[in-house]
Amino acid sequence: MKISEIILLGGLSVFSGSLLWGSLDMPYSTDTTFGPGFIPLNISIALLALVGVVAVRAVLRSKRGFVAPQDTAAHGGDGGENSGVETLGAFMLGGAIVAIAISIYAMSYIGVLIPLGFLLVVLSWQFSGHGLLKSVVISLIVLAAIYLIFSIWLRIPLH
Amino acid sequence: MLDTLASLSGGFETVLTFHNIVLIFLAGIIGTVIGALPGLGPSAGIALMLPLTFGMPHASGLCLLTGVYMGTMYGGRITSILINTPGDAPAIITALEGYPMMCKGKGGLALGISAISSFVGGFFGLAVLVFFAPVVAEYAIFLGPPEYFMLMLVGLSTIVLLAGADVFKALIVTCFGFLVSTFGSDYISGHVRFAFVPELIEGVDFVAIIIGLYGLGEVFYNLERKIVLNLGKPNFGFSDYIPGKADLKEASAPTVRGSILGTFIGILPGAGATIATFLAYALERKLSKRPETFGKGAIAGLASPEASNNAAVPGSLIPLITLGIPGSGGTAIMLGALIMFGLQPGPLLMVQSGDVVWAMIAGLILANFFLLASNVLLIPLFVNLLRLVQKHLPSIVVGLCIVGAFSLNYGTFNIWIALIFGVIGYLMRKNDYPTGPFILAVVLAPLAENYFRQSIMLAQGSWSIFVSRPVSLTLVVFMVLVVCASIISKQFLRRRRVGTE
Repeated sequence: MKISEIILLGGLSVFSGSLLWGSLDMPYSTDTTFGPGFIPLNISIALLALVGVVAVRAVLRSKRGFVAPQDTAAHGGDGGENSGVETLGAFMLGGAIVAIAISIYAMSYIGVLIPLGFLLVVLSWQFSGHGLLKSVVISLIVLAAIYLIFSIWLRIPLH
Repeated sequence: MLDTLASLSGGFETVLTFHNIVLIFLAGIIGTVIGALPGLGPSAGIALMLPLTFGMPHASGLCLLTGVYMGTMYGGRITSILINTPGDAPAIITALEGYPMMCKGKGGLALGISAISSFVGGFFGLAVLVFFAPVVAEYAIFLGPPEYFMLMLVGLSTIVLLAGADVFKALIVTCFGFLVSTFGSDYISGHVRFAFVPELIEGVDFVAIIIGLYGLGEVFYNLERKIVLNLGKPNFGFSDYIPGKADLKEASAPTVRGSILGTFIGILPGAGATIATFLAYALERKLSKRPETFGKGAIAGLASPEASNNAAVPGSLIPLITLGIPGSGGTAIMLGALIMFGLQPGPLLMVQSGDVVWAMIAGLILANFFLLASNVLLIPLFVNLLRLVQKHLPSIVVGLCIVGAFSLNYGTFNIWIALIFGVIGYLMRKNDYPTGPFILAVVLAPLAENYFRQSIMLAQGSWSIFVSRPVSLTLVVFMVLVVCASIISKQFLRRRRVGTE
């Protein structure tokens, strides 16, 4: 099982576990029908069970893969170079997510446009590999288009 | 019949204003560009446009969304033919025949034929939508909570078709969608569920979810993989796009067959345009006197799937408008949009909001004509526009997503939601977890839960209400048939794909 899938399934398990815990405080049924706790409780249990099934299945598959290593070679996965590229990609992605998170945080204090402008420049310059000047120019054009459409046309207060 | 035509002309009266005409024209062009961009399909297109509809009259907003939806079907074929990279799933088959034509120097002809086939398919589907939807809606108003609940279950049962290769993964994301939909006020008891912060009292905003899932998720995926488009430098003369008489004759019968097939496949809940194109291609190959030409640039293999995927759009709107069942990922988002506009999707939609629905249908007819014109006349412009923005796409999409999420309630909460679902969307895409069932569950689960609890209340705690009423029982049988048909068609498609390869 890939690390990203473990993160996804782990996150879903924590999410469903916390909703399961929360739904225990809600009425499961009333005199005439089911209560607000019915769906969250049952679906949380179902989700946890399904995550368990997929995890067990993955473990069984990986065991089979360990017994027959030629299977992985047949799929072109010798690790090495590919994993290096993947790690670099994951770092890039992590950096982009952090940059977006910082700009969202800044937006709560100084409005949308300025942090968005900086974010677009950073994304274009650091993550898409364009030159700084080109990134600034393109970001300004995108920002101007966004301002025209959302702020002027649709009157959404972006600043 | 006359009533239908009168209603349609009423729709045209609403739509034929300068503002709406410009909007529909732009929607078609935007949809074409989005459809042409690999990875951004109808769902992403509608999701990105949804924030723009805030503050618009309902009819205009729906015209914008359906115009974009139809436009993506036209646009998907452009990159399929030019660079063998389908813009969206329904355009996969287009690449099989379109790209070999491009390699033979007939790329312009392939674009021209596919544009005309798309127009015919869309027009046929719209004709069926206009005359068939009111008939279904007329009978649908007699349904009660048990029937509504069964309809929602029929919709949810289509998850089998949207599932992809692994049903367990589809079930996981479906359960996740169910749980996400439980946040906020419970409409039956008034109990507030899982409102960890005050903003969650109204639940998790559907638009923020899809902006994150499709917009940001796609950017994250491409960023990690360092996927950069390379559209090259196609250099077509305008005359290359106009097919000759012989080409049109060769394309005519497959186009008609694809139109009929696409419309009826589109009507089936969960089937959608992708399945329609595979079946249309398989049918043409079966009927062809020269099946060996398929895969090498056969006009029949290009025209029929293109007609079918455009015909499937109005086809999939029939169950959406009349019964509230979304037939595809795109219509699932449309369903969310209808709810967002305060309209009540389902049998009462055409009764209570007929003017809006007919305006939307009139807008679609207009969009189809605009799209034919723009796809024949503006192809060189599209190609060059794509080349212009291809390297800056991540910034543009992130900018639109952030501002779109902000527009939902003029705060940063929904941007955080979009970011969270962006990461989830990326993880789902990376690990082949289908997003269609998740969206379907988020949209349908709250409705299904309410109708289910109302039905049980109506029957004073008895479950027999679901099988004691004839319509409800019929829907139970239909649901079983949908699931069985889904499994059989999956097997059929798998064999077909193996055969094609």
